[in-house]
Amino acid sequence: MALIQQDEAWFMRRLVNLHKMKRPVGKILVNPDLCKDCRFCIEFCPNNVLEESKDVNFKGYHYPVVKPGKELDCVACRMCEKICPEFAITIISEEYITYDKYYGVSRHAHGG
Amino acid sequence: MSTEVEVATTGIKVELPKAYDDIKDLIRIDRLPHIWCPGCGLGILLKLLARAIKNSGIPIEKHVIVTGIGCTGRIGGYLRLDAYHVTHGRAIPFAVGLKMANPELEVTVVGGDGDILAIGGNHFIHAARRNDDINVIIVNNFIYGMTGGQYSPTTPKGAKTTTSPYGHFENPFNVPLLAYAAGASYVARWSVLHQNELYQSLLEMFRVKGFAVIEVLSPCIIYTDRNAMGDAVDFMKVIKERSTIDHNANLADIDIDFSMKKIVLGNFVKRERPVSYG
Amino acid sequence: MPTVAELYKKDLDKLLKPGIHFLDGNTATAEGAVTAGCRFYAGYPITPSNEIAEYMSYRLPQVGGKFIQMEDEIASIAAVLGASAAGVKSMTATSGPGFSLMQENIGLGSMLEIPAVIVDVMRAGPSTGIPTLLGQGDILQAKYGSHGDYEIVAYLPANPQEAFDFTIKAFNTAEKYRVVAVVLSDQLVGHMYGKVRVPEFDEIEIVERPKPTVPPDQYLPYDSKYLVPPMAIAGTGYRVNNESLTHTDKGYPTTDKDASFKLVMRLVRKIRENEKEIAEWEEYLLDDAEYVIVSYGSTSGSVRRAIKVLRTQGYRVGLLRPKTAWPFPGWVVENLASRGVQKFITVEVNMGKMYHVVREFSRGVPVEHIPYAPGYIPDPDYVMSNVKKVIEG
Repeated sequence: MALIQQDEAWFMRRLVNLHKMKRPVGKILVNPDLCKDCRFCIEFCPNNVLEESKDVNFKGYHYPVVKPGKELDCVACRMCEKICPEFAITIISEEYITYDKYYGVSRHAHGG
Repeated sequence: MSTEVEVATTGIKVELPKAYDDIKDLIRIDRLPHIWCPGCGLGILLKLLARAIKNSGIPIEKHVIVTGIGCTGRIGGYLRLDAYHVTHGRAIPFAVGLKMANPELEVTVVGGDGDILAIGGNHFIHAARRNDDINVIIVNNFIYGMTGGQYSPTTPKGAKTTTSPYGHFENPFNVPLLAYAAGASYVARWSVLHQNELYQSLLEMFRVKGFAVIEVLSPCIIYTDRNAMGDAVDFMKVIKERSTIDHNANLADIDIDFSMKKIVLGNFVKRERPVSYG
Repeated sequence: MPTVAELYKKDLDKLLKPGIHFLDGNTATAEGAVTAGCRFYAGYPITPSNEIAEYMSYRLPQVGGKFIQMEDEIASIAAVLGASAAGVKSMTATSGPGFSLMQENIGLGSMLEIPAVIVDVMRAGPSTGIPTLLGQGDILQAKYGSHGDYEIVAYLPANPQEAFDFTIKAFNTAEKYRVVAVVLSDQLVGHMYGKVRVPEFDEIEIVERPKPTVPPDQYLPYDSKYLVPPMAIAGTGYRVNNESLTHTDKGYPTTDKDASFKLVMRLVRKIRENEKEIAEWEEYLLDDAEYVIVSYGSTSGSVRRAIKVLRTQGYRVGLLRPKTAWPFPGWVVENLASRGVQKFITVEVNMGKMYHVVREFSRGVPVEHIPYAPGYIPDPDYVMSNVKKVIEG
């Protein structure tokens, strides 16, 4: 156990290789029926991932959806989940993405 | 077991998202979506309170929530606990009775600023004086929201409400100072935006032996709309930008005025005082 | 039904011993409460009920109960309801002004169906009135004081013995039907010393509130299947929402018309359908009476004397003394009216309260009231002369 910790500490001190570095990708799941369009999640998302939907839910509110092209921008910080007063948002972060891949995909998406 | 439940009032099926698996047995899912306005901070407090109760180390069946009237008074109805929704302002004496009769219970009163400080103000200071071993969460939204926006004991001077159309001319309560002066064992002030701090404060409240008060600042669109403060999001941004955390603040200096230039948050008081019965 | 001897085995030596005692009405009330199992008292000082609070503060710690003096009467009744919700039999005592303050939470007790006992030692009113002298003006307020539709039970003791007995009865009725029960004592009964016979402990029956028999996931707090649904105590794992808003069987707030109507119907029906079981009254020389005097509480003693004298003078008068103001034994009045009674005469220390209730049931037989409200009970001469005036027209 102690060895591994030492190992990690030693690793931390090295320069980060951005080509191989991974970060989590969050999947934002919104339960539209619970949303009341308070916009807290949209305004407080540090990466501006969310926007209002064109559709409305059964109560007539616009619920948050991921902006087109920003599917990989969520870093699973869970701010939207925490600030949602309506129990409507959940974040699943099971996947990881390398920065290389992220920028590649991102460039591709914008360039295309 | 699926968390999908049919809502009694609307008939729609509601599934509680996965993130709430830890508190799904504490939330009455069949009553969601709750009644609060879009932009109300009470939903956030509800989640935090449920999590704090779950992780308080006290058995869930020993937790009792007592609420009075108002928007905040509805919070007990969404928690699958022994909840008592009682008359306006009388949540604290009801809780005192519960706690005295059965000291094993962990009794928490949740009320708005009007409920606890106006109609229930006398009960508040006397429970603090006796140092009854109960917890009080005062959700301060600066206004009477449910009745349509009349001024409350915490409405800042100058604010416009439905009953102060030319601007409010009374001074508001400084809640932490009042609670401290009356004798509370634990006094804190947080906002619904400061979730980690508020959560820790709630846990501390359950541990404290004595009268514990947490003032929770919460946005209310009824208040912000009428005072040209934008909507709840703008109010939350004001709290985000202007609030400072100072645990050792001089309680006399932490009034919140209408401009909201200075919002001091923190765990201000924690002291040992003899507890009344229990 | 279990008796005191079975329920409070280990406390028996701490209770007031069976036998004859010489007590004042307020102390008898307090002792009655302790015997009935009351272990929580919250109150606020008010003349003439102070002796109850003082005695309870001395007595309750001896039997393992708790006493608290709250900041006002509103807080007192709220704490009493809270303690009762936690499973402890609770009471408060007050007088007119405090009873007025308690009205809102009497409605709460009726809505949440929490058993509680209020002793109202009536004094002269209105407003602050004469704190040290008596009145009987809270009769109608006891039933109609809070808003909306609900039912309470109210007892009318006339002497210290009844103050003791009726307090036990009030606890039993409150627990059995999950209602707020009121003991409408008055200043004279409260301060009157008299003989109180405490029955043997195996003769005093005690009723406990209905307890849930189903597991928590099947339990409905306001199950309309029952007239008096079983009551889950806070902290026993049932985790129910006790709602002061109009609620469904599950305890959720509702504006549904069927659910609201069903709830209010049940709150009222549980007393109205059992009124013959709850109501008590005393008949004195009624068999051949042409004129029936309706009187209660301390006033009835004076009336009884007046009737004795009037009988010797050839007037056929009798006394109907309701021992419960609510539910009022209206059918007794109806039977008397249809039997051919000439007149009903109400004698109370007020300007006409039970008068209205008697008139409701008198089936057209004239009802006359003898008003008297100087802070004292009318003496027998006053009653006699006024009854004669009524009879002779």
